Amino acid sequence: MQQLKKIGALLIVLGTFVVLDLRFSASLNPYLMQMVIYAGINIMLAVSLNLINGFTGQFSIGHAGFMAIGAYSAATFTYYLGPHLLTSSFLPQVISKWLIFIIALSTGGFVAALAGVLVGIPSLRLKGDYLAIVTLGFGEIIRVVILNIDAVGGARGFADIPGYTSLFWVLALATLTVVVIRNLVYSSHGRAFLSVREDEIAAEAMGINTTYYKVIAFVIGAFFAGVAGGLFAHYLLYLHTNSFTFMKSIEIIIMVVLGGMGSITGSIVAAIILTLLPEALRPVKEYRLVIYSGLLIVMMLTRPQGIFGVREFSWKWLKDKILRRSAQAI
Amino acid sequence: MGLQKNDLVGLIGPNGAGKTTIFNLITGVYEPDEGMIEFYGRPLNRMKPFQISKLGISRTFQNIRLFSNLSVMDNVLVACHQHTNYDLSDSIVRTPRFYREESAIRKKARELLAILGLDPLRNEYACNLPYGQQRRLEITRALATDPGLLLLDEPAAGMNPQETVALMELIERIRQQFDLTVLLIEHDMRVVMGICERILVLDYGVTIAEGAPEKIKKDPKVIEAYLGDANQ
Repeated sequence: MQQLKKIGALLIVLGTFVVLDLRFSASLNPYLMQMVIYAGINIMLAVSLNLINGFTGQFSIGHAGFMAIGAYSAATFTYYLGPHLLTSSFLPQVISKWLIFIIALSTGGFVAALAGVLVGIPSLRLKGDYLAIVTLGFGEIIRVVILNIDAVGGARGFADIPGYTSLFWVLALATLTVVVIRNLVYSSHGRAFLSVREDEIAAEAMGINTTYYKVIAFVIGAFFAGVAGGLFAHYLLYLHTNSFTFMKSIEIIIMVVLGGMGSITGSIVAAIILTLLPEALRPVKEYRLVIYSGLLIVMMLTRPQGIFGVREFSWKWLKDKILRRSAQAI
Repeated sequence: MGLQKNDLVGLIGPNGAGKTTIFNLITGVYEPDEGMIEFYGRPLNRMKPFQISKLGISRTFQNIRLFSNLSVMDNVLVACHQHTNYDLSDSIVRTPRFYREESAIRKKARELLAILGLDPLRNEYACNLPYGQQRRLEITRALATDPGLLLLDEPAAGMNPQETVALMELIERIRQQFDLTVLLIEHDMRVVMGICERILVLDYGVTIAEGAPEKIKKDPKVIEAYLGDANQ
C-alpha cells in the first residue's frame, strides 16, 4: 500500500513537470527559461557538492571536473551513437530521443562517478588543505585532458550537440537529485557521513568504515554533477573546457557555503539566488561584479554559517516562528 | 597482558607510560611492531578500527571525542549503524525495510539512553551538554556498539566527588547489565581501588606490577613510580 502511494505520488509529480513543460517551454520568455534551466542545473551541482563538502566534510574544490566529464561523456554518446540509434530504432522518434537522452545522462553520471572513485582514493589519506589541492589538481587535469581530445572538439569546442534538455528534464532531475541526497542524508548512512565529518577517529572506533563513506560521498556527488553536466551540454548545444575551469568549481562552492554547508535547503536557495543575482544586477552594469562580490563578503562577515546553517527548512519551524511572533504581539 | 571475561581491570601508571597507547593498539589505531593481540583467539594485529569494533571491542577517549554538532540521539545512532541492516538503496528508495530497521535502532538507542539517564537530553547538541553528561554520552555511545570488551580511558577525569561516585556505580551496573569485560585507565585512585578487581601498573611501557588492589597499594615499585607515600 505504501509502495502504491509512493508510485502514485511520483507519477503526479512527473505529470506536473510534463504539464509545466508543455505550458511554458514555448511561451515563456527565453531569457527567463534560461534562468530556470541554469538554476535547476546549479541546484544539482550545489546539492551534490554539499554531500561531499558539507555532510562528509571532505574539502573538494574540483567539482567542475565531474561536471565536465558528465557533459562530454553524455554529448559524445548523443553525437556519435545517437544518430545511428535513432535510425535503427523501431520505436517512435519521440520515445527514442527520450531513451537516448536517459542513456546519455546515465553514461555521463556513471563516468563521472568513476572519476569520483579515482578522486576519492587520495582523499583517504589526505585532509583539509592537502585534499583540496589534490581535488583542484584533478579538476585541472580533467579539463586539460579533454582539451586535448580532438574527437570531442579540443580547443575548438564540441558543437552541434542535440538539444534534448527541456524544462521537464531539468525539473525532474533536479528534484531527483534533491530527493536522493536528502533520503541518503536522513538515514543511518547519512549519519555515517556526518560522523566522518565530525570526528573520523571516533567514527572508526564506533564501527564506521570511514574509507567506504568518503569514497561513496565522492562517487554520489560526482554522479549528480555528471548528470548536471549532461543537461548543461544538451542545453547550450556547444561545449568548451572554458566552462569547466577552477572558477566554475569556486562558483559551486560559493553556492554551498552561502546556503550553509550541511543544509540541502540552503544549497537549493543559494543556487537559485546566485543564478538570478548576476542577472538581476545587470542594470548596474559595470558595478555588477563588484556588488556581487561585495554581497558575498558582507554575507560571510555577518553570517558565516550561511543562510540556513546546518538546518533545513521545515514546516514546523515556520509554524513556530509565526506562532511566537503572534504571542509576542499580544 | 591478559583479560578474562567479565573482568574489571584497572590500568594505572604515570603519564606517558603507554596506557592510552595500549588502548590504541587494541582498537587498531596503531599497529604493533612486535607481538600479537588476540580477542577470543582472533588476531587483531592487521585489522582496521571499524572491523575491531564489529568484533565487540568499544572504547571511550581520554579527551572527549563526541560528534559535537550532532544530537545526543544521533551520537548513539551512529554507533548503532553497524547493526543496521539496510543498504544505500534502501535509504534512497525508502523501502519498508528502511523504516523497520530505523525504528528498531531508534528504539534501542532510546532504551540505552534511558538506562544511562540521558533520554531527556536526546535532542540536545552534544557540544551543549555539561561535561559530566558528555562523558556519560561517550559511554552510552560505546555501549551502543554492543561490545563484549569496553575500554574506558580516564572516565572520571574532571569529575567532582559526587559525579565520581555515580560513575563508579554506573560502571559496575553496566558491567552486570551488559555482561561486559571492562578495562579502565584512571588516575583517580578512589575509582581504581574502589571498583577494580585487578590492577595493572605500567611505567615506561613495561608492566611493573599486577594484582589485587590491596597488593598493589603496598607494592614498593608502584609506590615509587606512581602512588607516592603509602600513607596518603
